Amino acid sequence: MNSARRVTGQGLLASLALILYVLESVAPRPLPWMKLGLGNVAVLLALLVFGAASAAAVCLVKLGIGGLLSGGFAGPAFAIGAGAGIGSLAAMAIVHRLTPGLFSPVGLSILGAVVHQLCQLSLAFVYVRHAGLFALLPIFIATGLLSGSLTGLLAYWALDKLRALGWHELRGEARAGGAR
Amino acid sequence: MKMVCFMRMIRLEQKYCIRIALQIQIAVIQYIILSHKWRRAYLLSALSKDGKREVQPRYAAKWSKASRGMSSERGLELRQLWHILTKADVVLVVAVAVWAGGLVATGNSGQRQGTRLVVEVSGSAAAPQAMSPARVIQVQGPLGVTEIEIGADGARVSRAPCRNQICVRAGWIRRTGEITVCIPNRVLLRFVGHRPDSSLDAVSR
Repeated sequence: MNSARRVTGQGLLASLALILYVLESVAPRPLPWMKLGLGNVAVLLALLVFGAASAAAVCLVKLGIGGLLSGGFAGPAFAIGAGAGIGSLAAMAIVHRLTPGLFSPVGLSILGAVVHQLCQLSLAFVYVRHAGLFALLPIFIATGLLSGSLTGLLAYWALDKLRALGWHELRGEARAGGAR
Repeated sequence: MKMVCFMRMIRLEQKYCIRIALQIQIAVIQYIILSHKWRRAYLLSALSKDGKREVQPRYAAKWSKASRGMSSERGLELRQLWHILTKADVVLVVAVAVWAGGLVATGNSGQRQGTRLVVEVSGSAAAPQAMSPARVIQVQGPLGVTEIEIGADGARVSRAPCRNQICVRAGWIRRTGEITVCIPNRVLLRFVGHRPDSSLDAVSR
């Protein structure tokens, strides 16, 4: 596979992440702090297909342009969400790197979602500075578990389709490139 | 200032962006669906020629087991879930669920009916307020005035200057340990009740 295909794939994933992020930020939510994290589907796909660097690129594009589009750029809520997104991506990338194949995409996604919620709560703690905030921890973990498994299933499904399309050939090159 | 105008403009254009984004997404999905069949056939023939298989991830065997003979048109099936999950996944899910359950079990035992309300603005707490007269109080935060309604059995934020209004939608809180937070305006409500570290159980006068 040539690098043009790779760049195209990354661009598609970045735009997909952006679309899902913006759509989700407009959609009504059942609970105020509950969010499915659909944009993470694309980030997870980028991590599994192209590697950690592309996943970071997709994540940053999603956060930067998504923040501008949803209008909350540079506010505390955006800072919390962005920090949590980067933290969860870092956790997923490290686990994926250290133990390749131990977790399925669903497991990776659940891990990322739970870490996302923990980071979110910790960063909110930086703003609010009250230990009572951690009374919300079980709710956050439960929603992380739920949304993580849902997005993980979606990512697995998409990966299955991509395998059928022949995208997994890209994975080998991404690994070879990552070893450099 | 320019930045603010720019963002407002973008917010106005949001509907357009969403429409365009939806169309792009539909186009991508159409492309995938249309190019799906012949590509898959091509891929299968190529695979059978050199017989090379991916060995890198440990779940590759599971994937091929789950997806072989099961065409992708079937889509996402929950029956497949046990083929997808590895042992580590199950351990992770159980561990996280037990953790959350343990937190709930230990946290709820400490919750009691709150008797006094503490309002914190930017991290500094005012004196606890009694609950007895139902009233509306106003506190000044960095963004503006937040109105807090105190009723017979709880308190809530009734009006807030923040954009997303999470604190207003959070509704009434009644018990110790429950909090309502407005991060943009740096306002926090919590109840204090019978403090367990106090040497006195109650004071009668």
